[in-house]
Amino acid sequence: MTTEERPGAAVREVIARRFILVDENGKIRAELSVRKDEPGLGLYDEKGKFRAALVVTNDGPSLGLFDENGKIRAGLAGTEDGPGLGLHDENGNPRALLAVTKDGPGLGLADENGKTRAALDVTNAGPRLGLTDPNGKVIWKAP
Amino acid sequence: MTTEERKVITAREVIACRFILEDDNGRTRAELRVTKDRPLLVLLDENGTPRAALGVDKDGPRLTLLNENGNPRFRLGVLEDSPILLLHDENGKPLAMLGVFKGGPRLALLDENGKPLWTAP
Repeated sequence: MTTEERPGAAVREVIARRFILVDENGKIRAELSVRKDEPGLGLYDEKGKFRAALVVTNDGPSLGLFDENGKIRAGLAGTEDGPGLGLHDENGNPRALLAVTKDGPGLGLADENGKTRAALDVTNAGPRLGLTDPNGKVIWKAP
Repeated sequence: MTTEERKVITAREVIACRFILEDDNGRTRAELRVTKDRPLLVLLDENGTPRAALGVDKDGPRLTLLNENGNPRFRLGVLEDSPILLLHDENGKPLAMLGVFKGGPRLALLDENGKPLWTAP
């Protein structure tokens, strides 16, 4: 498309409270807006399901990816406690977490009940690895 | 923005160099722009500090989440065809890295100087 073919031509700046992107059927597929004083970009699938969001809340920025049932499956967040990546199962329960806190970086793996079963973290004392049973009892650790 | 200026514009296509999202107080809370040939979406907090950025630069696409001081805490990107995830401390120093490289996946936990404390494999 040439500049001449563009009705109204390109403008330098468009300012609005809400930008909505619709598909050829008129369905909302993306929205850039401020809700409750929190700016965010939301993306929707062809069924109108909310599937992805990049938001800045009072707790910090975050990215969420949702499955077709509306369950969160992956979340990235940068909160006061530190940044983290969480991966969730089909029930929305967190099963894997990679995070950096004030104590240092760490990796945790959880069972279907949300109990952490394997954890690796690095503190000022050095790296440590621990495995626990479903009741939280340590079954192996190093050092 | 006055009440008279509040309206809904429906168009098949809106072409611009910069889209600015304002909140009810007229503060810029998001910008979609092209800077130095790089498309970029930036979300800002109530103080005007950039807190999230999604862009594409010459190295590839990148998502960055920043703290209230503007320091990066989280980076996800594709660098030279390798997806990389970086977690940073409050000063912006990377402390954890997860990536997939030509040799395979790699996880590393780092100290404040970027020295690997633990890596796998």
